[in-house]
Amino acid sequence: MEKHKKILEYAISSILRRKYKNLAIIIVFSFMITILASILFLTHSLKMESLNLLLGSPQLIVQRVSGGRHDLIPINYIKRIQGIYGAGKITPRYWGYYYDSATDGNYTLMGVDKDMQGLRLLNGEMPSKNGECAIGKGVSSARFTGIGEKVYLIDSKEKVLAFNVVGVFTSISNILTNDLILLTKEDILGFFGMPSDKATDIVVEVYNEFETPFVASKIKEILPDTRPIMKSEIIRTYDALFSWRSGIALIMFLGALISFLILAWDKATGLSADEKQDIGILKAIGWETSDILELKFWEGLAISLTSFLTGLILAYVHVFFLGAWLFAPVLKGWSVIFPSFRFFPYINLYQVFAVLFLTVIPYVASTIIPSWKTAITDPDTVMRG
Amino acid sequence: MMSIVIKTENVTKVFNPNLPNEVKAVTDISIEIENGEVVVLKGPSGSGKTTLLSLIGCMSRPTEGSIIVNGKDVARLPERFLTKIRQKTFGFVFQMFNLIKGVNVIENVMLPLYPTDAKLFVIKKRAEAILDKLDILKKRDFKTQSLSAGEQQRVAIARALINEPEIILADEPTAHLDTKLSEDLIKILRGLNEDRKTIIIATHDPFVYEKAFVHRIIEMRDGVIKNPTPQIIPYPENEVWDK
Amino acid sequence: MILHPGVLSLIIGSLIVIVMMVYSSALGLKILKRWNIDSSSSEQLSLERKTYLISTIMNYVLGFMVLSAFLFIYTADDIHRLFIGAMCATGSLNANPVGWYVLYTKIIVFFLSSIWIAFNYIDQKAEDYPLVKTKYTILLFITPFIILDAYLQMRYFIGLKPKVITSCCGSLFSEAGKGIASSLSSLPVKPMMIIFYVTIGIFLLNALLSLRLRNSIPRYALTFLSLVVFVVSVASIISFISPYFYEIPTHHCPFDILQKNYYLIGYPIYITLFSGVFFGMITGILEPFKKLGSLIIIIEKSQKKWIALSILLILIFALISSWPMLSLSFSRDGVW
Repeated sequence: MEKHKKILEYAISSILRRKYKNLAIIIVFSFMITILASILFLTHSLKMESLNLLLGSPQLIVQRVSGGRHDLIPINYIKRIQGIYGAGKITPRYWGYYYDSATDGNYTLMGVDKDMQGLRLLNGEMPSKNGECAIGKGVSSARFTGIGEKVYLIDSKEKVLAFNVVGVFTSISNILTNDLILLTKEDILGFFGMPSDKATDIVVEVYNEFETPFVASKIKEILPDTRPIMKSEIIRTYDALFSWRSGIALIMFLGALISFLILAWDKATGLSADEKQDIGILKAIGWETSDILELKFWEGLAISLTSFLTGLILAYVHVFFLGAWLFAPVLKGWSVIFPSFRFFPYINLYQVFAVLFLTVIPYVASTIIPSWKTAITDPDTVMRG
Repeated sequence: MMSIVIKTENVTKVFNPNLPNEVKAVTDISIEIENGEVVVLKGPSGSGKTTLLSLIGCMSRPTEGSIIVNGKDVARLPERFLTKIRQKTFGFVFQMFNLIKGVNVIENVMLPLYPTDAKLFVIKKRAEAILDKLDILKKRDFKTQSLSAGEQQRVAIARALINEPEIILADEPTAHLDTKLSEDLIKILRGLNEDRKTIIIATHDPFVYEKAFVHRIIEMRDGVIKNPTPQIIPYPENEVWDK
Repeated sequence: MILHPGVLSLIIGSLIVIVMMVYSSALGLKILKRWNIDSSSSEQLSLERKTYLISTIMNYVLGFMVLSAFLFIYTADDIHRLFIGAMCATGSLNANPVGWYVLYTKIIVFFLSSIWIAFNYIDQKAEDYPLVKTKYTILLFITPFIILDAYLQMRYFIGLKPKVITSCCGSLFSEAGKGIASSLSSLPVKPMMIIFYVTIGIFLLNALLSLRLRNSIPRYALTFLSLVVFVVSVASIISFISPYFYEIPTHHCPFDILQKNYYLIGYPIYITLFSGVFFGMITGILEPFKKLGSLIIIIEKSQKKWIALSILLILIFALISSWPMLSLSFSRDGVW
């Protein structure tokens, strides 16, 4: 024990003695870890955000499929679903996408019923009369508009319509409300030119969560042209999607990792004359090969842990305070309109562990052979001059 | 009571065997060194005295022959065990001092005992005592590169003593010292010998080997011993004069 | 195939370890062929120095294996949402049963490399390195397991098919019925409890006996009993120890105890179990090597230490595992 403590102490003092050389490696290594950890933090945060959001979403969404594509669903399907045992309240939803050429962004337009709850407003209220709207934070800042002002949209007949903004959504990080514009149901129908007996999809509440698959299969039986989608399926799909995205990002990152390892190898093999001399002296005065190996192990560990912690902290700041400005556009890939976007800091140990695994282990592995080569210096080297 | 601490039997060391650049550094060396002796290995550079010193000091293994240190044959021991024997038996003083730059004096002295189970504060106490004895304790926190040659040599000696060795090996210890400093060094070595330490010095500096405290000179040339019956060369008059 | 940070890390890590192990095995083969401790040739010296490299690599491999076993479980846990009916890591492993074999190979490699390190430790204490041949023969056996582990791991991840919504057919509810069993089939609680405590009792008794006697028989028995303790303990963790921690009699997941919700209690449980079993096991494994003259004292001394350690560790393991039963039995007597 005593022995290891003293060797560790000496390892740290020798790192400090060669500050500049080691600093270079720590900076590069920290940067790598920052990027890697940012990718993982960001995707994890996005994933958690979506999952949290979905937790509040309906158990079952019923879409109509026609010719293999999503189609508008007739309102009278509601009556047929109502008869199914276990199905609760059934509500039609009216929504669609709107491309705004002025800001080059995609908005989500949604119709509201009076009883639509659960969305928090910064200030103002929900649209209650035709010609009113509530908008997301993203839309508000992209269009430089707020409560009391107007939003101009071009409808399906190329007519410019003005809507009074009566509310702006508050949620800082909420992915769904950011690009949202809420109109009344009638306005939506008119805007998209939808027939009044059809809705975009139908939301079915299921009293007992475990009965959802049963209700879904019943719906499919009664209405063969529909596609019931369960919440659990959406969650699963999101989960897979975000894992896949971070996986892809990591693969792109592998090239960088490899070049870093080459650098580490080079640094470790290309010992300066001074360092070689020092190891020679240590061997001559009674340090054994395994002691030198231990010294090198501590050095490597100190360097990688320093870089690791620095990298993690930088990544945390980067993702959760600076909005991941380096690569958020690539990873979010949702819509172009994300002027400001604060992520909620979700971190789990697993992410940290994966980062550790992807960076420290390859680094340590790449220094084994160079350290060993140094460690087997002949003890009498220093005597031979 | 005199006893043999080191005995070599027909020791040969070949570098780069079976290669074009093969060198027979020492050939067929058989010597015995007794406890408390001061022995000089004398010879020009390339005579094999440094190689012999490193073989005796368990720094390397002979190609042939055996080396017996305190009754144990070390010629075939793996490096791991050679190092252990070295750690408890020998103290080395090198020609180039070989202090680690950027590390302060006291730590340089303590370094040989780092890879042992001795407690740090024990080593520190011991290092301070030795530095004090060598009259250099005031420089304990200086970096070694800021010391003069004489001071560096004393730090190197302190380091050689930290493990309380019974045998001190010195390789050309005066090569980088002027007369005055060499004088000081000899004084220190003599003091160590008075503490019953065996001292083996490889040198070609007459200033060293002509000194009274040297009990015996072994002359080497081209890897072999030139005076085949090494004899004790006393300098009694010199000793009187010296004291 | 699931592309996932944890999956990538595991695969990359395994590849690195394979490269290192193949390299060490090649060196090991050379050492087996050319080793001659009586020679002072430069070849022997260079072989001797290569042993340092191999032992360094083996130390790293052991460390890696421990980390990778945990990362593997974490990953399995993290991806369980992708599978219908999966509620924890068990579900993910059931989703492609090769996953269980990956876990087994990781455990085998863990024990093998620990054994190797113990041999190395003993060997390096004797001046004539008497175990060199044995050591490097063992090394040659470890490498195939590491490759097998990496192969199975790869197959596990490739074989995983997450059930996601595709554009053609959204609903997969029809498959919900044949979803993945979320729990392991477990042995009945009462008999398992009796077997568990009896086994631990016999193990401890035998360990105390081998500490007292210099006889070989209890030490060989200790190796055997360690293995039995390992198997019985794992079965018990699944059968009744973990459900007590979850306070759900039907949740038999051996992995969830590693989570924060259960105060990370799984770590002390598994660490004491694995290391206690290892120290018990190694005691008997090294017993026959006492015949090599220079080792008798070294091995005897280490064995004493190991036996004491294994008694201590297994005792702690048993105590931690029994804790919730002791504290819960008052309030929930009837239920269990």
